Amino acid sequence: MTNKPVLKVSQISFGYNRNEKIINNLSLEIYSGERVGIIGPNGTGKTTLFLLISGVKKPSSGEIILYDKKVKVGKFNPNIGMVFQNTDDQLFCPTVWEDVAFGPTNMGLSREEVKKRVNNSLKILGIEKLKDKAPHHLSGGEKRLAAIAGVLAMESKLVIYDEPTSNLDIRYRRKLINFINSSKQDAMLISSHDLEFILEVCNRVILLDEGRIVADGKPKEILGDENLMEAHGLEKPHSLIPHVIDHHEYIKKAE
Amino acid sequence: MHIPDGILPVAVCASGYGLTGLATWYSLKKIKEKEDPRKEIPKASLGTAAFFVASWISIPIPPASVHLVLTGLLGILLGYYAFPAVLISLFFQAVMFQHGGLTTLGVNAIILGLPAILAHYTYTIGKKFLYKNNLKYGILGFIIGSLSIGISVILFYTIVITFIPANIDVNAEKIASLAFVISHIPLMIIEGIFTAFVLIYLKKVKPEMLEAK
Amino acid sequence: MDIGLNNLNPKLKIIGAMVLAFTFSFIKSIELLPVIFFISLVIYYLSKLPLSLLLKRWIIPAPFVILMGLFMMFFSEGQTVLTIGYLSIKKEGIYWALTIITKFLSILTIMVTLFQTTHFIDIVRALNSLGVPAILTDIIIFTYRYIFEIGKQLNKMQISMRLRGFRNRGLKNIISLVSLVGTILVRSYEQSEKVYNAMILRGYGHKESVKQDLKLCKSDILGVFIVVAISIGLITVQIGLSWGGF
Repeated sequence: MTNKPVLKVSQISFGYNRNEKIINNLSLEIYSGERVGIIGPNGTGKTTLFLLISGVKKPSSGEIILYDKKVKVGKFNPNIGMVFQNTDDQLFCPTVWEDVAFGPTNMGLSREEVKKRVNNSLKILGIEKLKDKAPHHLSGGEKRLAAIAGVLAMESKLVIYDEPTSNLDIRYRRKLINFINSSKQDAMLISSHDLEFILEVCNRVILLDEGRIVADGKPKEILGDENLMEAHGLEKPHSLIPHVIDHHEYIKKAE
Repeated sequence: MHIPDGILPVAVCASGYGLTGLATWYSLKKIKEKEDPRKEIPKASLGTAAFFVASWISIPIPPASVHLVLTGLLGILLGYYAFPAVLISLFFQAVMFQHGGLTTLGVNAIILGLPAILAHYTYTIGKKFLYKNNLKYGILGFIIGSLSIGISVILFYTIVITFIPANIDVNAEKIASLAFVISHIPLMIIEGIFTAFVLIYLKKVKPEMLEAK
Repeated sequence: MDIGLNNLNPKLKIIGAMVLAFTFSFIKSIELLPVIFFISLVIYYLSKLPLSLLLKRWIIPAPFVILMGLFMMFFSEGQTVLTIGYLSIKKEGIYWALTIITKFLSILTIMVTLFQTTHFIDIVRALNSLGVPAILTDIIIFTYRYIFEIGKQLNKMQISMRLRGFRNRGLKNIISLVSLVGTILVRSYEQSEKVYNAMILRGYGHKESVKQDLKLCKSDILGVFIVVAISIGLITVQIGLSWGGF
């Protein structure tokens, strides 16, 4: 890991009106190689934070620096990619192929380069056979992989995953975990309610509540702190509870 | 209310395309003038899709059932994209179901799209005075919704009877026109009622959709 | 002879179809009606599409056109040829009815051939390369994508309503139906903001849209040539017949 952060967020705030602040004077630094899990109760500002970092929304104060450049709102920056929680918001082209090609085409790459990147992304995610399918013909898991392919094809250095395991069955969840663990992306921000997932893929966890960072550190330490988790509307993941006493109830059927 | 191919003279069909082209060009110009035209594109697309799907809802009115057209509401909610939305919907009907007419696409777009444009202007003026009072606002919706269909019906009938190649006996024409308009009054009333209620619903649930465009 | 209609350049298919449709629309002499009908059927035959599909497409709009035909038969001015009760069929009326029905069926057949042998996306790309502005073709493509999505949402909502006891009785349930329509509109509106965010994050609008460039090949050019030749032929004959004092 290098010393300079790839993402530096300095004292940003954001709210839709003056009284209600969704993000409250938040500062954060992300370094190369980090896979940061962002956890917290619903409505706590995770998605808003992502939209601020990626330059979609403008903070009312503070500044965001990504790879040494100030983030300009509305300006296209392929260095950052985001996989949305609801894949239907993101898969807006008529076929998977075209959707994955969308980003690279807008980057101004040649047709051959676009083709190469799209094929490569589809291959890495194992969805080549879906390339001509329409998004509404895909299952939830297939849609998720297609959405990730679209961001992968841009070769973004920092990738944000907003609730990536929602609507995934066990098979696709495992594919996602394997993909993230073998991914060559420089840094990742991953928000999820699936705390077991966070434990498997992240090497740092940030607990966000009411627009502020409440805790920041190693995943097992933060997720294992029962009092901290419960104080912020969360629960210690089941796998971190020592299984010394058998607390699973089994109902015996009559012979 | 689609005029099928084969009835109208070529000149009328071509004029229809000409007028449609003009109206579309004007709408697109207005979109490009907006602060961020890119923002308008998903709005236009999803709005058009929503109205297209909403027209699939059938309302049983014995002995038959009726499909909503909602051009008045389209004009109110989509503003400048109301006309392209109508054109695109007709285009989809043609491509997917071969319904509506190839040579008459332009004319049909005018029949449905012109009232949508008028609805937009009427709403923009009416809203200033009538928004606050729910009853008055509902009545505004009713008038816009029912008249939008009414204007389409009149345009449809006028174009067909004027340009139909045969010379029709005058009395028959009069009876036919009366019968045609009267048979569409129930549809006009239903559209008016729906428009009124949907406006009140939106005012309660998502008022920013009703802002002036 | 297999022209292979599926493989023809969509740009030229659109031009060909429009030229033929407008040419057929121009025809009014009774001698040419079987000619245009025959041409449209030949083209349909060459497309190798099933006859059942064509008949299905003919049936739905048929009632209106037949009604118009009957209206013209009974109520045109002119020479009576047959009387049925109070109504009389006019000679000119029969002629006009045949004209509109034949023209309607011929143009509809061309339309079915065009749209059933060309993929939707190819049609839109062809329109773009023919000069339709990118902003409009983009709206068309995204609308296409979301029609299915919103249609699914509608379906799910209707199922959920039915499971909670709703039976569609028209105006009696107007509040429920209004809520259904309203919900679709609100959800689409909210989704459009999220789709916009997703689009600009992947650079939409960053580069000038490139006009689609569809390459031509020999069979494309031959196909267009044939269509234009037929059209010019028909128009010429029609004008000749009109001058000939019909």
